[in-house]
Amino acid sequence: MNTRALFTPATNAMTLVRNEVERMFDNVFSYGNSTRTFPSLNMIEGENTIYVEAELPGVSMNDLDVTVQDGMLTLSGRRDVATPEGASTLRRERGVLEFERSIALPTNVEMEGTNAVLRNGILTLELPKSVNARARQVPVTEG
Amino acid sequence: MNTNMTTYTDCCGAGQEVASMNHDHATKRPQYYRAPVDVHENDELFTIVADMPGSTAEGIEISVEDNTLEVRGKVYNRYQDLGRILHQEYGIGDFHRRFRIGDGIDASQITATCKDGILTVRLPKTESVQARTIEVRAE
Repeated sequence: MNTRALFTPATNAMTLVRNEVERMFDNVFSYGNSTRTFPSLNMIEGENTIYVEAELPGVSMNDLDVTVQDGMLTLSGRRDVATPEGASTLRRERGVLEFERSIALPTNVEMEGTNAVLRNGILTLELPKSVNARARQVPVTEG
Repeated sequence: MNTNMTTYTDCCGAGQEVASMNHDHATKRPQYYRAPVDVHENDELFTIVADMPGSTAEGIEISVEDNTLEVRGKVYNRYQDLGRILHQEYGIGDFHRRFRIGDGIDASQITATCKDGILTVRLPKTESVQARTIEVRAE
């Protein structure tokens, strides 16, 4: 049985959201929504640690796999972007149901001491550099 | 309708000035990021779902004024003193988004929740609007 409302005279009176106000600032950036670029990654090199951060809104730890192999870090998983039951979707900008992304690490890392925290939709990985990869001061003596 | 309805408090109105993370192109211009949204509708309400990773309920401010719904999410710079940036695909800055809403929305009943970096705003339709929707059923 088709119960979809075919005639909704109230539509014009409540043009929520369909007409989004023009963006307010010139330097507003939009997000890439393709699977190729999800999640977005940042990488920072500390003295003894490589920090990798990923934007993963709506992803729970149970739905996320993090692996390090052959100098590559790979993040894969899924998130729920489905239309709620009984609703119709007027606008869809949030992409990606399933994702997989890899990035080369700049140095070897120790798996021991690796730390992963997923909080407020941000994954933060702390990857300790392997001992050989750490900068070492070479003592120079007069001779 | 001049309802200034702040669902979440503890956040200043203006966006924080965020210097670029890229030291080669350091800039002092304020930067805002456009949160991607999905919008759903059913008989009773509209639902806006926004990706705002890094935002928490305490840092999100929602206001309704002159038929405009405004969402701001504060994101704090968490990279200070960590080290050298090797690779950057996103910047650290506040989220901002505005929507026009019609009189069919009951602004006093708007609610919002934030979880895992996702903001969900529920905008109930007024009863009169709900009553005016005529359902046509196929026989």
